[in-house]
Amino acid sequence: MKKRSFITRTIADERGTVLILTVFLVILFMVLTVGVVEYGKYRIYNEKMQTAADAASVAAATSEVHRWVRIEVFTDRGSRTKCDKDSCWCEDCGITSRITPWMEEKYLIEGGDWEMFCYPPCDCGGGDCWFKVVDRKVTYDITSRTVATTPQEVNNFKSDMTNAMYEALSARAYPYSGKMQQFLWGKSMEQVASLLSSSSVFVNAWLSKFVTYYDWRWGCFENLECYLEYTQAYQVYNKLHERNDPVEWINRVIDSTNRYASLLNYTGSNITPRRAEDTADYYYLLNAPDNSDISRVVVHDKQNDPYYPSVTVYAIGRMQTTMADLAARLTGSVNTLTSLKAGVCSQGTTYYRSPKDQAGAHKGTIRSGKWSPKPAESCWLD
Amino acid sequence: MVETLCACLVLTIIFAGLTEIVLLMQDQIGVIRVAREGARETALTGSIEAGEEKARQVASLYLKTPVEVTITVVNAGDLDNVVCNVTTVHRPLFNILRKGGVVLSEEAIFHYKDYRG
Repeated sequence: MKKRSFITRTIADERGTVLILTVFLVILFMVLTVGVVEYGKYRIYNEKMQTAADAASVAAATSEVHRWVRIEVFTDRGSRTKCDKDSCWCEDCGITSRITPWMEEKYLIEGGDWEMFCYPPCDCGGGDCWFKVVDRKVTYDITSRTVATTPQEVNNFKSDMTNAMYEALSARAYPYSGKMQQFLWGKSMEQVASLLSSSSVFVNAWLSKFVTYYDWRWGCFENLECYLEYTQAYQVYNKLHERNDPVEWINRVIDSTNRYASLLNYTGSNITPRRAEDTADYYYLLNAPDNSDISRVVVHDKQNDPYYPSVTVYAIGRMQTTMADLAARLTGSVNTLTSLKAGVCSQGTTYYRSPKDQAGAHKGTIRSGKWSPKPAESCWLD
Repeated sequence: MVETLCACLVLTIIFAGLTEIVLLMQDQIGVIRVAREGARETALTGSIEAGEEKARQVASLYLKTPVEVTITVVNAGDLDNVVCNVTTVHRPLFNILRKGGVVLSEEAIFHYKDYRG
């Protein structure tokens, strides 16, 4: 009988096959387990990064938002006095309107600042004021302070308000309207308010303006011209105070113009903090897993931007694999080759009410109107 | 025959463990998503009720076990935060006694803005 060779015998011998197969399968399963665990850890890491990025983008798109609005303020100025030689009557003096500069909605509408754009009513009473929404936009703190008004606009506003005020005062002084206009000419509203605060101050100012010779020591009772002016001055003063206190009225207009002028302080500032990014960072860190950070924040605050108004947050991270953790513990140094790179993106959208749905007259906070359309998806595109 | 049986037993246990790990991780991902969506909805609508409702909807998509959702608004200096806590118990696949399990929980913190004011 021919003896079989060692190889043939080994192949033919089936003892221990299960052991080899089992060892092979156990190793395969172990590798698979490590792979599955690492992949699972990576997915969890990615989800946590997504949560952090969502928190960052939502916070950046909502917390530091400035809602700007432009409105047209209408004033029904009531009626003005008209007189002929026999009688006087009140005549409608029309509706005036003024478009405001871009101002923050919370101050202009909700805070009631829109009322400063109401013209003073005419002398014969009445007057109503309301507004219509012209346009609306949102900005983030990065650019908010560059939107406001100009010195030219402030001067125009002041001049319009002063003229409207003087026109109303002159009409109230009938039949001395022409002289009243002369009297007011060149005076600031503050000066006029001060002159109208007491009769003696007003009369002295009137006499100084219209009487050629006036001796303060003796008064003007010995001078007919002076006496007539003196009487007129008192009549005008009484007429101006007939219906209500004109000083309070003028002061309201002064306050309006001053508040408008204060908007100028908003312009030209280059030290604006980049708050949208700060906020994004803050909320990212509150939720972020280890070794991850925001890589980029894109603020879409230009109205012609397809992604307006939104903030996109990109974040990257490196997840330490179990192998890397083990190696780091053994060697004391982190091997970046054994970490997995992850990247996420999130877009936070800012909503505001569309002005198209808010047509009509308003007198305060507006809660009606649909929310603005959602911007285009910006992730990985901007 | 005996060794094959033993080997199969070992391999089955390893396979069951592997499956369990996958399911556990899936549940953990689900919990993270529920917390995120709950907090996000609350942050966007300003309504805790809407956030809880959203969290339950998302939970029904990703999780088979009941979830406990707690949404609170916390004042943190000049900012208000909405904190969404989600807890669930992962029941092992081969849980013969139908007791116990792994408690999974996650927290998401978003900025809160009350739009009702």
